[in-house]
Parts: sequence; structure tokens; C-alpha cells
Amino acid sequence: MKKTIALFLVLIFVLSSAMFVFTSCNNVDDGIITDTGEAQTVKLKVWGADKDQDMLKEMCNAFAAANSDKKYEFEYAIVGEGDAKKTILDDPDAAADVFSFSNDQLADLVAAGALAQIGGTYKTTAEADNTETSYDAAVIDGKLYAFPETADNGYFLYYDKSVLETPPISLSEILVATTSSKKFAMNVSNSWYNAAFFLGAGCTFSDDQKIDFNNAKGLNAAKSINELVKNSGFVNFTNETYDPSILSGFADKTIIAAVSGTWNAEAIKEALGDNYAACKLPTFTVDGVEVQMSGFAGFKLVGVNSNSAYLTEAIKLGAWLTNEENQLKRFEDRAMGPSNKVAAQDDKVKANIALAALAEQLQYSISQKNVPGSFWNAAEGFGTDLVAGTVEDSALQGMLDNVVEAVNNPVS
Amino acid sequence: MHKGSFVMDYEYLLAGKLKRGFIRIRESFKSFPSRALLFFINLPRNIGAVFIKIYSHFKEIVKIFVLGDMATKLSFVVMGMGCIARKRFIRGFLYLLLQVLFWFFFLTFGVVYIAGLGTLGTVSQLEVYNEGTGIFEYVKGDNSMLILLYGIVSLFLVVLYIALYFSSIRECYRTEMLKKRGGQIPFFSDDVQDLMDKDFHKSLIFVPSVMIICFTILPIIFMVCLAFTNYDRLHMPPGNLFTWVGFENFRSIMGFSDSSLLAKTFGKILGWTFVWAFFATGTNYIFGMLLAMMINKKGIKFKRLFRTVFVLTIAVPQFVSLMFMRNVFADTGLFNVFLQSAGIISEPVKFLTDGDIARVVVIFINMWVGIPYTMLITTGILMNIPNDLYESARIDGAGTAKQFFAITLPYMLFVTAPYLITQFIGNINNFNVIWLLTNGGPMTSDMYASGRTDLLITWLYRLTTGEQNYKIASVIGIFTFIISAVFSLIVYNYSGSARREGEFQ
Amino acid sequence: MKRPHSIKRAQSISSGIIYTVLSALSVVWIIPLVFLVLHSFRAEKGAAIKYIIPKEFTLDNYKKLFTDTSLFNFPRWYLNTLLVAIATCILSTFFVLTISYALSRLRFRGRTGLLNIGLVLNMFPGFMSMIAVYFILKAIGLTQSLVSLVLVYSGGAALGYYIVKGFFDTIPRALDEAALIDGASKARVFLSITLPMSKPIIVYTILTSFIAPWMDFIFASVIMKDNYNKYTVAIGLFQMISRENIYEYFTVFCAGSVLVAVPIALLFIFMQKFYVEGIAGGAVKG
Repeated sequence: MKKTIALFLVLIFVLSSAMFVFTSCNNVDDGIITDTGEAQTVKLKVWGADKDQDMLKEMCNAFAAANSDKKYEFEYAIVGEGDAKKTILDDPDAAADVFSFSNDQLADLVAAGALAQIGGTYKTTAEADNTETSYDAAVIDGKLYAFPETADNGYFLYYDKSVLETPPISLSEILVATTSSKKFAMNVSNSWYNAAFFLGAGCTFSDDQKIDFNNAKGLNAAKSINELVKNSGFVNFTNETYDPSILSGFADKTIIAAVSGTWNAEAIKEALGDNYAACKLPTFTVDGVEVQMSGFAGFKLVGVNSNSAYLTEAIKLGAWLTNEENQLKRFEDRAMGPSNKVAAQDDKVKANIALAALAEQLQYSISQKNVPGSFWNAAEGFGTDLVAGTVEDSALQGMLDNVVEAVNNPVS
Repeated sequence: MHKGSFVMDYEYLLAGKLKRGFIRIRESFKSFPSRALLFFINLPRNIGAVFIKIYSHFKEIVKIFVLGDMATKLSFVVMGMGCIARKRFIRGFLYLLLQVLFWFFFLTFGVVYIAGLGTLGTVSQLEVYNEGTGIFEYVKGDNSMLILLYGIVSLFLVVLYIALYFSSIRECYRTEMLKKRGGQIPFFSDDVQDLMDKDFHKSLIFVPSVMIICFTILPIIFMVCLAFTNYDRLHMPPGNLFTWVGFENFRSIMGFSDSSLLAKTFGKILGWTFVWAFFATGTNYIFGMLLAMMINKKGIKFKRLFRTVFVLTIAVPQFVSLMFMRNVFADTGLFNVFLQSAGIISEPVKFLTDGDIARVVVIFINMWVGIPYTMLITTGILMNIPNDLYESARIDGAGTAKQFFAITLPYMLFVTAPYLITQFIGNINNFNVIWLLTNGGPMTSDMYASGRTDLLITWLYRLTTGEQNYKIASVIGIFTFIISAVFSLIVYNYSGSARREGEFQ
Repeated sequence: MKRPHSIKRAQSISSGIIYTVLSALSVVWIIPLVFLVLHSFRAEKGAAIKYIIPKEFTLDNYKKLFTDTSLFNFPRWYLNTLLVAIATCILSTFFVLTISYALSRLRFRGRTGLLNIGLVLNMFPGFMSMIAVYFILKAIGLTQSLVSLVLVYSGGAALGYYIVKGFFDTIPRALDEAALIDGASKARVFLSITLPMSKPIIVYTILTSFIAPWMDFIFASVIMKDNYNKYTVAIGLFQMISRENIYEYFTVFCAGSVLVAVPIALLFIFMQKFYVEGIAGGAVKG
């Protein structure tokens, strides 16, 4: 009995000292994320599209050279602007410190708290240096959440000069020039594109991200789309096949005009050769009146991860990557239109046909800021239904009602 | 033997083995509704039995406490005490080590998360402006998702620990009883030997089970819990918290709240999923079998060559061949170009972009993908059908068709019934084919975030990656899971297969 | 004699029909693969396949795979996938064999319960668990690495016990019993008697678990996220056909797919005998 008790006491002692040690090293992490900048290597992870990697490396090395008082170590990874949101939200800790993303993702990223707010002199500089629309695209409720990087994520009209000698003004002008083997292409089944009709007709995205597409203006826009898809000179390609199809279409002359953006500029230029031309979107008819097609003005922004371990440095890098010099460099290397006021006025930029057309169209386009995430799938359903070419005008109202319901009551 | 058993019928007893199989199948289908009902009626009783068992464990432990001697009682505080006191050192210390490890885990990790499970976090991310550097700094708040996940993991480990705790106490008590009776106290080497023999099953299933628990069971529990929260785009960690909302999501999907679009969509997709699974499984099975029979037929040469040709398609990664098919059947794809240049059609056929046509085309392309598999399987089995059955049938004057329906088909169905069920369930969850061919499209405004060829599972995927609507996705996942599970449990357990297990051995 | 004649004729007519049908079907089945190979030699860019024979043939696509590694590091990915595949097939085989043997041969409390649970768990749509699995791995410190990928692939392997168990069920128990009477432990029986007799099913298991990592891109991309150097071939190929890249890289994609498909096809052909025997044995039992 005595032996047992002695043994017991010994073990109890062992156990309780162990517990004591454990409770004291209970490391629940709730520290403030500040950076400790003194004389340590600053490790920054940077994301960019695959074609931007080389350019990014040059820019970051220049940054390190310009700030030689600290040591920098960069890690690069390939995450395209369109994938940025999803990849960050999946695991914010493992995400980059600095990354590019397209501005329609801003609202979701801010709502999830993934972006660091930008303040102080960084904010005032960004506002002063960049065009109003591009700055506005990065602002929510008066707070700046990212640095404007490019102002070229929108769409406009490319056309074959040999068929349409002067820039076409209206949709009917284009359609008149089409035949059964020379068509006009627009990805109307995709919500990003078919919004051009709705926005042009006067529908809106409210500040609390609700739409009114099922009102009279929306119905008019829907009727115009319906009329277009039934025209034999029109062709629609679905999402993944759209870009490749218009590229090969321009090359073998089965397409005379198509709606697309600057990402295809090089390839379309190659396909059309001397007949390469671009201009703003045409007008379309609503109740007998010609209305300019609107569209989405998309901007690429550079965001800083709020979880970054080196927040100050990351913000510095973000500002650096979007300064005037680097925006010009981005234009020269990758033909991306700058959002910086001075850079945009550069002669070389103005001479770029695609960017000029985009700039012209941008006056009529609206920002993607207030577009809720549920809009894309819903409007795509609508567009896809219409593209089949069998929908009667009378059914349009019901379909629009469905779209609005899916967007405004997203079951959350 | 339950009511209505056919096993004692004269017809059954007199019939040959094959006919018995056929009768079994017929009876399975006939009694399906009543068995389904029985399953659900028994369910509460079975669940209740589990709780009763747990309760009896507790009773047993209390009994041990009361009856055991000092050392055993002390084992309640220091795990393994009783074993150590009776010279079963290694085993005892192992228990103690596990106890220490558990408390280490619990105090440094588990406690925090389990505590947070009730509210799923109360402190959200804090933003603080640092005047000095002009930077906004962030204080990390609670991460609801991690709290939920790690909370579940911790809870699970706690339960595991309690089971281990009980087992250690029982072991100590057993050792005490053994000593009292004057029996031999087992050495540790004896324990090890047991693991290789008497308790071999424990060693065998230990590691795989751990893996399954980590990678399948815990995630399932996590997903089920998600369905009761409001985790979606507007409640995204780390910036926001989400919390429990009870059955609200279920109510939305079943149509009891404002959004009827969701309920309608769910119904439509559910219907199409079943139709798809039925046709996909059926066509692959029948045609695969026919193909195997053709190759297998006496007098056909190059058997190996033909089989190899068909099997080659399996070697190409599925997404490659499906992507290829998608290109070929596109509106401007090869197939359309071919048909147009041959003058058969003037306008391209919307193989994959028209809702109704796409549904049919998808089933056809799935045949191309799946028939080689079924062909392989049925080949092996076909070779096992005794030839004299066919001989006697032919002598009796039966033609090929009759032979097929009277001999081959019943035999195959009987033997591969479980395989068919697995395939059916597999097709309900067949993500690759649908997603890669049409992305679930064509999208339509009639349905919420989904298209005409969407299965439950592709819809689920789009909801998570496209709209971050995790809560609804979880509900769909649960429904898919329940449907598959109930269906397969009923058919598998009550078909002849489970009972026949003993026959071969 | 008239009768043997007409029977023979009937037989040769039906054989003839069958040969035609089989040949036609073989063509249908092979065509896409032929296209794949042909287009991997295509010089023109673009993804739309409007014609069968490429206008210009070139080996550039293959060269590109191995030389243009800045964006698509194919050789590295190939190696990664090979490593993952080998590790996965070893682990998976171990898991499946152990569980199937236990469920087939050993009788213990809770066995039928496990059978049912296993059956049910297999029905679970795998990728819903991806978020959870990713973060569980993260808690242990294993993220974005090949090890985590291996764990993910082999983790649920044991749930595929069904066919293997069926195979074990067909091995007569008499042998086991004789050995047990002679004093062998159950472990001995498993290792020395059962396993050697199970070559077909072992080959089947190894083959199927080896192939899986080459084909899967969903799980792999969730685990790897942006860790580009650790990608597997499947993720890489899938990225080549994303909207931005497909125009330029489609033919390269075809070339890459051929390089993946050829070894697997060879494996399949040589292992065909085992594979069929294994499944037949396992599925027959039901």
C-alpha cells in the first residue's frame, strides 16, 4: 500500500509539472501584426500573371536597389489577376503580400478583410497621380484599399478595315456589312458583355449591390439583344471558345468585327495585319432611338495583404509597382494601359490603337465596383437562353424577373 | 428469416442455382419499398441502441471504481497507474505517456477552439491606424472557419481520449483481477504477440482508419456543420465572423423561405442527376457487356488486340480526352465542320450548347469514356459462365437473343449487382464528365447559378468556387450524401450479396 | 450435307457482322486518340479543331515542353508526379490490402458496422472535404508540398476495399485453417500465405493507385495553390488550356498529354492480364 501511494505521488508530481509547463506555453496568437524592420531580411511574396513574371522581377529588383538600406528577398508565384480573389480567400496566410487583381473583386476582398487599407501619404499620392475613374475603382466608402495599376480592362470593338472602311457608329451599320460567312461576333451569352446593353439602356447597379434590370429599360435592352441574336450576321461563341474563335475568325476572314479587349490586341493585330482597327462600341436601337452601348470599365489594382508580416514594406512595394515609371514600363513591356495621369498622356500610349479605342469607350462605361458576385452567373443564364435564338419577346419579362431575383436575393 | 421469405418455397428449392439468383433479384425489387420503410423505422431503434451501449460503458467504469483496489482507483487520476503498480511497466508507462501527450495537446490547442465552438468567434479583425508610419495595421481576430474545424478535430480527439482512458482503466482492473486470482501477469512481449495474432485486426486497421478519420470522416462532420452556419460571401473570414443559424439553409432549399428560385433549381437538378445516373450507368453496362460478348465470342480472332484498343482510352487522363471531345463537339468544332462540309446540315448543331441536345450528347460521350471499363469487368465474369448452360440451351433450340435474356443477363445482373449500384452512385457524383464537357451549362435564367446539365455535385462546386456560398453548398452536399448512402445501404444489405458472403468460404 | 453447311454459313455470317461492328467501334474509340497525337505535331496555333490532318507538322511542341520551362516547367512536373505516384501506390496498396484482409478474413466486434460505414463513406463527394483537409494539413504544418498530396491521395484509399475484399473472399479458407492449426500467427498467415496468392489483385491495386495522381487536377490544385514548382503534370496541363493560354498552348497541351498517356497505356497493356483477373475475382463475389 505504501509503495503504491509513493508511486502515485511521484507520478502526480510528474503530471502536474507537465501541465504547468503546457499551460504557460499556451501560445494563442493574438499579437498585433507589426513589422520589425530593423536590419532583418524583408521577405515579400509577389503574385502576377504568367506573362508578367519577367517584368515583375525587374521591377522588384529595381525596388530593392532603390531601397538599399534594407535587404529584400522576393518570392514570386504565378496567380493570374482573375484568380487572385479565390486564391487569397482560400488561405489568406499563405497568400502573397502584394498582388494584382481586377477591380470587380475589390468588394469581396474588402468584405473578407483581406486587403490592407491604404492611408497617409500613400493615399494622397495615389489620388493625385492616377485618373479619377481608376482611383475611384479602388475606393470603397471613401477608403482606399488598393493602388490603381492599369486602366485597360474593358472592351470595345475590333474590326477589319478592309470591310468597314470607317469606324462603324451603329450596330445596324455593322450588321449591314455582314453576310452568312462574314459575321459580327459578341459574347452576348456572357454577363460581362451583355451588360453593355442593359447599362446603355439605363439600368443600374445600386450602391448596395442590387439591380433593376427587370424594369422597362431592362426590357428594352433585352429586346435589342433578342433581336441581335436572331440576326443571321451575328455569331456568339461561348466563354472558353470566344477568344480563340474570333482570333481564327479574323485570320480567315469569317469575322469582320468583334467585341473584345486589350488582352487580345497583339493576337488580333497579328491576325488582321494591315487591316487592324479598333474603335468604341457601336450604338444600338431602343424604341427607335440610337443609344450608345455602355460596358464595364475594368481596372487592375495592386493590393496588399492585410495578413502580411511586413506590412510597411509591402505597401511601399505596392506604391512602387504602380508609380508613373513602372506604369510606363508596363505599357512598353505588356501593352497595358496606364492609370497614371502622366503616363496615360504619353505619346506612345496615345498611339496604341487598342488603348485609344478603350479610352474612347471608357467615357461611356461604368465601374464594376457595385456588381455583386451573384450577378455573373445569373446574367449568363439569361444571355445563354437568348443566344439559342428561340426566345419570344413575350417571355423576356419573366426571365428578367428571375435574373433579378437570383441577384437581389442571393439566399444569404 | 423474416416474413415473406421465399427461401422455403418449393419453386426456390427445386430451382437450379441460376434460377435461384433470378428469383432473388425479383424478390429484391418487389420488396424494396417495404424494406426501405423497415430501414427507416429501425433507424431510431439502431441509433438508440448506440446510446444505450455508451451508457453501459459508463456504468461499467463506475462499477470498476467502486470495486477496484487502491491502485486501480488511482488509475483514474494517473492513467496506467494500476498497470505500473503490478509490474506491467511498459504498458503502464505507455498509458501515462499518452495521457501527458493528450493534455499537452488539449491545453495548448484544444481548449481554445472547443470553447469557441458555441459562438464561432466573437472578435473580428481590428483595424488600427498607425500615425507614425501612415499604415493601417491589423489585429487578428477570431477566424470562424478555423474555430469550427479545429474545434471539431479537438472534440474528436477528446472523445478518442476518453475511450482510451476507459480502456486503460479496464485494463488496470483486469490486471488486478488477474493478480488476485494468482494468474500470470502478461509481459509486454505477450501484448505485442497478441497484436500479431489474437488482435491482429487491430494492427491491420489502425493506420488506415486513422487516415480515413483524418481525411474523410472529420471533413464530413465539418461540412455537415457548415450547413448549419451562414458561411458565405458576406461572412468571409478572416474579416468577418459567421455563426450558427440552425435549419435556415434547409428551409431555403426546400422552398419555405422567400427564395423559391433556389428550391425550384434544387428540384430540377436533383431530377436530372437521377436521370443522368440511370442512363449513364445503364448504357455503359449494357453496351459494355455486349461489346465484351462480341469480343469473347467463339471464333473471333484478335481478342487481345480488340481489348487493347478499347482499353487504350483508359490510359489517357480523363480530362484530356474530355477536353478533346468538348473541342470536337463545339459549335465550330470538327464534328460540325465535317457534317456541314458533307452537306448533311447547313447550320452547326449545338451539341453542347443547347440544353436538351447537350443532355443527350453528354450521355453518349460518357459511353465512350466508360464502356472500356465495363467491358473489362464483364469480360472477366463472362468467361466464368459455364459453357454447358449455353450448350443445353442451344440444343433446346434457343436462339442467340433468347440465350442472352435467359442466361447471360440474369447471371451478370446477379453477380455484378453491387458493382452496378456502386456505378450508379458513382455517376450521381460524376463530376469530371459533366464539368469538363459543358461546365454544367448551358446556363439558364430559370435556375440559380446553374445550367441544364448540372449535377448536384457540379452545382456544389460552382457555388463554392464561384460564389463562395459554402453554406448552401454544404446543404447540397449533405443531401447528395444522404441519397447515395441510404440507397446503397438498403440495396446492398438486403440483396443476396451480404448473405452470400459465407458461401465461398 | 445441308445442315452443317448452313450452320457454318450462319456462323461465318454472324462472325462477319461482328468483325465489322468491332472494327467500326474500334475506329470510333481510337479516333480521338489519333487526333491527339496528330495535333501534338501541329504547327498552327489555336484550339479550334477544324480539320483532322494538320497543315504543317513539327516537333516544336515537344521541344517546347522541355525547353520553355519558365512558364510551364513540364520536366519538373513530370518528376513531381512520378514521385507522388510511386509514394501513393505504395501507401494506398498497404492501406487497402490491410483493411480488406481484416474485413474479409478476421471476425471481430464491429465488423459489419465497419463494412457499412465504409460503403457509405465512399459515396461522399470528395472535394467538399478539400477545405477541411487543407486546413487540417496546415495545422500539422504540411501545406503546398508533395507530401501532403501523397497523404491526400492515399488517405481515403482504404475506402476502396470493396473489390480487394471480394478477391480475398474467394481464397479458400482451408489453407488458412491448416496453417493456424500448425501454430502460425494470423500475421504469418497473411504475409506468407494470402499475399503470395493475391498477385492479380495487388497488381490491380498498384496500377490504379499509381495512375490516379497523373489524372487528378482538382485535389492537386487545392493543395498546391500557387506553389508552382511543386505542381503535378495534371495541374500544369489543365492550366495550359485556361482561357488565356489555350490559343498558344493547345498543341503543347496535346504533346504533354501524349507524354503522360503513353507510359500509362504501356503499363495497362502489359498488366492487362492481372488487371482483368483481379477485377473478375473481386467483382464476381459481389
